This record gives sequence, C-alpha cells and structure tokens, in this order.
Amino acid sequence: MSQLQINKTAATFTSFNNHLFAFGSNTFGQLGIGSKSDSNLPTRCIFSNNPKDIFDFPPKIIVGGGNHSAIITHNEKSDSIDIYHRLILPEELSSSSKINWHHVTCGWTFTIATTQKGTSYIFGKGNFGELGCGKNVKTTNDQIFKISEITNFQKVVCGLRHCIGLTKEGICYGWGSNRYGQLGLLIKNLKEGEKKKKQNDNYCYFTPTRIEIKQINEEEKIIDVACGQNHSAVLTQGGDLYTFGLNKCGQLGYASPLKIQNCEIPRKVFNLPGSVLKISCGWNNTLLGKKNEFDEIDDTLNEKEGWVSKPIPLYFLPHTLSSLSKDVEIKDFVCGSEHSLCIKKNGEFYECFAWGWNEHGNCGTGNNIDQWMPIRIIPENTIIKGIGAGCGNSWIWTKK
Amino acid sequence: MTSFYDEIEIEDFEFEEDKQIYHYPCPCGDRFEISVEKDIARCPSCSLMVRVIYDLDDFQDDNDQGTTIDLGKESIAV
Repeated sequence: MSQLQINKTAATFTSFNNHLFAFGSNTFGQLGIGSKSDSNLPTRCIFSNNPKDIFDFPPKIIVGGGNHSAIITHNEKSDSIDIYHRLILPEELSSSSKINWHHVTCGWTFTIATTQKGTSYIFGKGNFGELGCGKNVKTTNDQIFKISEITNFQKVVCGLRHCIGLTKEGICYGWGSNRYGQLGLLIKNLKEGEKKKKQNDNYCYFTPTRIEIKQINEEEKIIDVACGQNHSAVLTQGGDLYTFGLNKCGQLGYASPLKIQNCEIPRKVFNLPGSVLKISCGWNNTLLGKKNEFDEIDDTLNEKEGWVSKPIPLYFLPHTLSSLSKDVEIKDFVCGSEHSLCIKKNGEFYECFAWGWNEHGNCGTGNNIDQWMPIRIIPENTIIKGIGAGCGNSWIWTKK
Repeated sequence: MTSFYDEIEIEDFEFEEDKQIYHYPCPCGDRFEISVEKDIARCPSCSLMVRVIYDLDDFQDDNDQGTTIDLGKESIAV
C-alpha cells in the first residue's frame, strides 16, 4: 500500500463518526455503501437515503452470502436486523421491537436469523433443503418461516447449501445438502433405479436432523460450529476440533485430498499443538485460533490453483501462520469465501490484517492484487471493534 | 496459461429454465454460468472460471435410448 493510499484511507476514517466500513465485491449493492461498484478501500456504509443519517448503534454481527448481506445492530433496547438486497424482511419481523436478534448467517440464496430466545427464522430460497421447513418449502416469499421443531438454538450457521444449528445444550442439527457428507449424516444408500430419479432428494435433508458426533474424549459440550462451502467444523468445550465434508483442498485438516476426498463422519483433527478456542471456515479452508497462536488448515493464504498459474502446495495439516508474529493477542478472525481477516493486538491498539484472493479489492489494500501474506489494512490509532466477511467482500467496524 | 478456480460436476449446477443456462456459485457472490454442452463456466463479475465435469450417463434418457454428446468434438479457445 502506498503512502498516498494510506493517507486516503486515514482521511476516510477520520472524517466520519460512522462505525462501519465495507470493501470488496458489490455487484448487487451488498456492501451497503450506496452504490453497486466494487471498492478496494474501506468505504463508509450508508444506512438510509439520507447521508446525514448517522448509524449510531454498533453492529453486533455482519455476514455476507451470495450477493446479499445481513447485519445485526445492537442498542440498549433491542437488537435489530437489516438484510440488504434480494431479501426483504417481512414487516412483522423488521418492525417488531420485541424480537431480540442474536445471530444471523447468509447462505447462497437464503438467510437464517436466530433470536435471543432461540428461534430461527428463514428467508429466501433453496432447492437443497437449506430452508429446513420440509420438502415443499423451496422459497419463503413474503411469508414468515421458522424452524418449528427446535426452539433453543444458540446459533445456526450455513455453508453454500447446508446448515448446521447448534442448540444451547450443545446438540447439532443439520439440514440441506449432504452431497459430500458436510452434514455429518450418513449418505443415503440408494438402489440403482432410485439414483436416476431425482438427484437432489438422494442427498438432501429437508428438515433438521440430529448429527451424532462420536467424541474421543469424554462427552464434552459442543460450543461452536462453522461451515465452509462443502465442509463443516465443530468445536468442543475442551478445545477439540471435529471436521467433516469435502476435503478437496485438505480443508478437513487430517489427510491429503489424494487420500481422503470427503468424509461424512465427524473426525477429530489431531496434530494440533494445543486446544482450539475459535474456528472459522472459508469456502475451501479452515482457520483455528488458539491461545496466542493462529492455525490454518489447507489451501493456506488461498494458495490454490485457480488464479495463479504455478503449482502451489496444499496445506492439508494444520500449521501456524507464522507471518502473524507470535506472542500477540489475536482478538478475532473471520474467513470470507476465499480471503481472511484478523484483528491483532499491538500495544494499546488493534490492527487489522487481510490476505487471500483480492480480485474485488476485498482485502482493502487499495489494489486488486492477491495477498499472499497478511497485510495491515487500516491506519494505526483507530480502534477496531470488529470484522465481518462474505463472498469476496469485507466489513470493519471502528470507534473513534 | 489458463487455470481454473475449480472443477465442478454438472449435476452440482442448477438449471435456470428461463435463460436455458446452468449456474454454480462463484466466490465473489455472482454465479458461474454456462449454456448447455459447454465445458467452461465463467462468472460475469470476475475473471474466475470453472471446468465443468460431465458424467456421460446424465445425457442418457431413462429408457437408455438417448444420444451421448461427444465433448471432444468441441474445443473451446480460452
């Protein structure tokens, strides 16, 4: 990043009181910056047509899916939700101040939002059972749909075509596509004749189905789940990690893709030097946070054939991201589709780093060149409160 | 040198009848699109493309009298 660009970024950050900035892919206006152009520098988000309307409430969570994004904002009275583009929230839900939203996840053509109490509402469409409301529900239109069987969700997360809901008791339920075993449910055994009929039905689960995770240690409570494009990761209270689904890039973290292409049984990832505190999945990678350290499994730094013309090794076993120096506190990290962001503590300040695919400027560096190493993307002396990422785009929220 | 983001089986694509195209998600949020019989799907919003893998059985009718498409005949310049 040139000094000019840094100054420009600094100017952007200091001239507004607003807290949320976005950059990256924006074909359908999913960045929320008031245009449909990509931005390769952090750009202030606009929350209404009136530019003077300053967004007062800090975001609690912001996520992106296929050409849409969702945000939960927090104020003293309630946690409200906004979903940008393609999806219009039914008025009964958007205007209701009674609902406190806790978590939101964006899939390819759908969004699932979970309330503080534990009810999950579904918006959008999905042909693979992603909506979880039975075989007949493939689009929600303007109607309100919720997962009626389970009312104590802690969160629901989703990949491209599959969803995993974690209850407050630590039980996982999956629905959607299980084509690569990403729901951890057994792939249905079908006779030859059945296979030909309707392919989706062969591997799709249309209602929440309990995922059995056979733990090696004594039964520990499951505290977090994360989903990639076609794989999933589950974290236990003791810091054990279980992965399942597609292993095309080694994203399961225990075997070469040449050896295991996909696995429908949740398996523990060994070779971890310590217990895991936090997980996040990109489309084809998995990031793990440990105390004072940071691991990545598989196509690390997006070193994957595709946008480079040289052969790149895949990392199919966890290894530490040494470029983010040790002995610093990693406050948070998040994976976008093919890029990642993290917040690192440096003295009194937090610094934000980004790396990976950058065709849409989603690393916020001021250019569109892929970042092979984590690069600091915003000036010092800014208090970074949080980060979010979606499909080729990113968000940073800051406090002056 | 051409390189592909991924290789995706045709049965993972969704078919849009109105436009007569197959599409699959692109990591930028848009979609890789191809019309029938092509083997390279491109995203209109970025430079990425995927190679489409065909299972020849998919092109046979249930009564097994369908024709099989010879994919080798059509070479696509990239």
